[in-house]
Amino acid sequence: MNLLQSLLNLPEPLMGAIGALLITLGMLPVAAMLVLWERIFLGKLTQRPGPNRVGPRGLLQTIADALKLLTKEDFTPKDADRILFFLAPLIFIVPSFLVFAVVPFGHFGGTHGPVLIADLRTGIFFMVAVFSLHTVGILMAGWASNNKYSLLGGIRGVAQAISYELPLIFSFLGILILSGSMSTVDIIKAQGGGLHNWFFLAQPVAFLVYLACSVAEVNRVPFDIPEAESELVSGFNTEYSGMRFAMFFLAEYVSLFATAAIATIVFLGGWLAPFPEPAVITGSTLGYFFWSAGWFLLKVFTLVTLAMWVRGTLPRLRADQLMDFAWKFLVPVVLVNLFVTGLLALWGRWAVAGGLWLALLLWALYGQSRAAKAERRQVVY
Amino acid sequence: MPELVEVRTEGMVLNMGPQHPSTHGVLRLLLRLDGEVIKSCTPVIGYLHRGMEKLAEHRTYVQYPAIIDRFEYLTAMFTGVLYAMCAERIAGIEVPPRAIWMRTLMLELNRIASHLFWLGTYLLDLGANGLLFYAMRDRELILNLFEEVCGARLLYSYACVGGVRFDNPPSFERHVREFLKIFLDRIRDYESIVTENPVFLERVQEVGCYSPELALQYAVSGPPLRSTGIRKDLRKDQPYLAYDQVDFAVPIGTKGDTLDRYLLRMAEMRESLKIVEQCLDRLPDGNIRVKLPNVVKIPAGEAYLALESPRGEVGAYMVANGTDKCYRLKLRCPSFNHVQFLPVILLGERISDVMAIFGSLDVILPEVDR
Amino acid sequence: MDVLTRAFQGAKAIAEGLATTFKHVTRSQVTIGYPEVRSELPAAFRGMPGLPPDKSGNTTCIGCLACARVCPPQCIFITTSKGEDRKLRIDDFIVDANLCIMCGLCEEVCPVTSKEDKTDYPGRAIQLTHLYEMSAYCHEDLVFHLPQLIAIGQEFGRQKSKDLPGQPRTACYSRLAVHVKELTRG
Repeated sequence: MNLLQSLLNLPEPLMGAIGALLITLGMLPVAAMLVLWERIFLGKLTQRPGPNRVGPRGLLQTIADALKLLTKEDFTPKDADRILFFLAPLIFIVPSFLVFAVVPFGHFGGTHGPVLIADLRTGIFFMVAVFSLHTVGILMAGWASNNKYSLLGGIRGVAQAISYELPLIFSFLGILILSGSMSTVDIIKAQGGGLHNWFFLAQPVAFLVYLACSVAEVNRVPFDIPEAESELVSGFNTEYSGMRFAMFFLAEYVSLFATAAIATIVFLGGWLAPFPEPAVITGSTLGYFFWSAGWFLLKVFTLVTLAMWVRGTLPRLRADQLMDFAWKFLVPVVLVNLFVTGLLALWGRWAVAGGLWLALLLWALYGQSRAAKAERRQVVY
Repeated sequence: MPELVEVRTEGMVLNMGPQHPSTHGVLRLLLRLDGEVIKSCTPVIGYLHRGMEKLAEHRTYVQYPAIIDRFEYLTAMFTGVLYAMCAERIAGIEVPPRAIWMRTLMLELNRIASHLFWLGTYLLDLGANGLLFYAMRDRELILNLFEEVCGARLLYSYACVGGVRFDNPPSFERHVREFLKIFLDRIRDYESIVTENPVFLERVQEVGCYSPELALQYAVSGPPLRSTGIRKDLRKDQPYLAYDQVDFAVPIGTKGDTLDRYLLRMAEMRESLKIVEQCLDRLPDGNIRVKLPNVVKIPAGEAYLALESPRGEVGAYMVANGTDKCYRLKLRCPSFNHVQFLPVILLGERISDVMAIFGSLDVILPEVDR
Repeated sequence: MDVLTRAFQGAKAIAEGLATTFKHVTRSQVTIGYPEVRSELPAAFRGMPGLPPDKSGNTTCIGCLACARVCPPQCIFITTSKGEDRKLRIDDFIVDANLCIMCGLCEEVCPVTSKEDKTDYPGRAIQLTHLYEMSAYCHEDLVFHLPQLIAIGQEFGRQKSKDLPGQPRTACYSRLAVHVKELTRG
């Protein structure tokens, strides 16, 4: 926000407040759009039209939904813990927005600086730390609802968050070695120069692990066990209705956007274009802002769509299998990844790490082509 | 060394249903839980009781086939045919060959439709959204065929004592052949999404295993029984209709787990396609029903007949007393046995697996509650 | 290295599944946008029973009560009277759509047949029509009397639908709705 700051010349806290306001107001329509897009996309995946009743081509559907939720009765179950019940959605929603404090949405070009509220030196660390606060909200909601399904959902949510935060953080560590900084801006700058410098190429395994963990982090299929509609009747938010449910719902989509934004920053080069920028654009401040923000949003949107696509395809894992997957597979994998990255950072080029992983994958492919196939079970005629 | 503190834990009673998204109707399961592990399970049934059996004593042989469809609305063809066959057996009515082959054809189409419905809802129980719509889309093709013949999509009242009520329209055969052609592709689609999906495999492999002896003790039938490796299929064991003249295989499973039941149903759909094709090829011309008086009277006598429905052995025991209504009708449905089998196989499983196991038995509640 | 192999296999299978679902994005949608678009009904479709009138606009029913007797849910009620010319007259013919299960037994037993084809349903006095939209605000609105049943038979009888294969019948439906409403009020 360097450029804006020099233009407006306001004290730092005030700028921060304005930024927070902008983020909060800006994220509401974004979440609404995501909900709509998810429904349209899932519809397309299953040869349905999706929402098509409210407004032109159903574009106002989420607004209608929001209005409906707002006007519904704000119901608190008997014997619920009223204070916790009231607080849970707030605690659930705040971290989703807080993450955007360190998300650079774009860049003004040249020395004008990136578009973000606070360039913390511990940017990535801040994101992960704030993000894990969701769990508190889930547990509170599950506990306070005085509903057995909710309680189970809340407990599952905690167990899942504990398991998945670890590989999530570890998947960043390799990046931190490569970029040498925790600041989101520095990480993006370290990926400058074109597609081949983006970290998802140097750290493919970390990228995939992060994608898996981020899906778990926002409680979506196949890791949506705290909600698990067909088992726990939507789990921790079973008892919520009206405005409070809307907050949960909103927070989920904002979180989805946030996790995709983090992936974009860390692995996909943030606001950078996959090729060297033409001089016409780098020259103009406003032009470069739209150019960079456009690339950023495009990447985020692609990742979000990927999550939706997965939702339309995969079933849900069981709670214990989920933990197994995290502890017995993801954690060792990221640890090996960290080890390899560390070794190579000492004397190798970044891309070598990617090459090594590629070799491992090819080896696995080789082993699979020999060993597999026979394993698949068949019926006996 | 720190002192070990014993943490006291309490069991929890979870009342699953009758309004639960995946109890397939209105089943209520009283689960006693330790954490997520099930210590005991008590199914509570009867929320959908409509007095089907009693109603049979008050409706004539002409009327009741229209009502018995409601006994099990996903396989309405089966119960209708079953009732008609019972009455025919007692009265010794010879059904024209065309009606026999058409009944066979319809039963097999209905089997595919029912398995498709199972596939979609089962994957939904496991948390996958997409497949439900694909399965429903293709079930719709079959329902269109039914609608073309008998004018209804769900409750066909197709069979009647002495044959079937509706003849095939001229376009029917062409439409069925079109369906056969595209449906094999569709099965491949499902399999590419489901069969090798690691998440799906994790959820179903070695889940809900039971031994063949246990299954026999609880009178489990249909795919849940065949998944344990017992080759018991009434279509082969005591052939009815035209099943002794068509060529098909009865696949069996090896381990008796949920994966086997999934694989079995997919294989059964393929076998059913074969039967449908043969029925079409060999469909004879002629009458579709015997000429019976307006008031059908069945002489005194009794009969038990059972068919292999998609869910298992569905049977009817009919006592006729010479009037136009039967004296007593007892319906035997596979789902009832499967529900009473639940407490045994759910013991020690987890809540998430309740749906995986319960769904794999393909229980439908109207059949249990009648 | 079993873990790696399994991971690779799993990833491959998931990718396959994703490809299959994505394939469907390009396919045309199968949903029929119902109130605007109506699916084509087969000739055999069993909808609400109606009484298709003859050329003079009267019912062809002879009042034999066969349909009322066979009806499984017992939803047909017929009142008849002997006129001065000693002929049976249909005073009222009631089909209670609240109860009707549209099984088609009534048209099956109806003795009134067309002269050309005795087995053809379109000649029967009571026929299952192609009307399937019968929403109402109260149960009383769904008890159809003789004039309404004649109107239903007139608009939606099977004979009619044979002449109009697969045309969107929206206009036709709304016309009937108005018609039936008027009759109900009157």
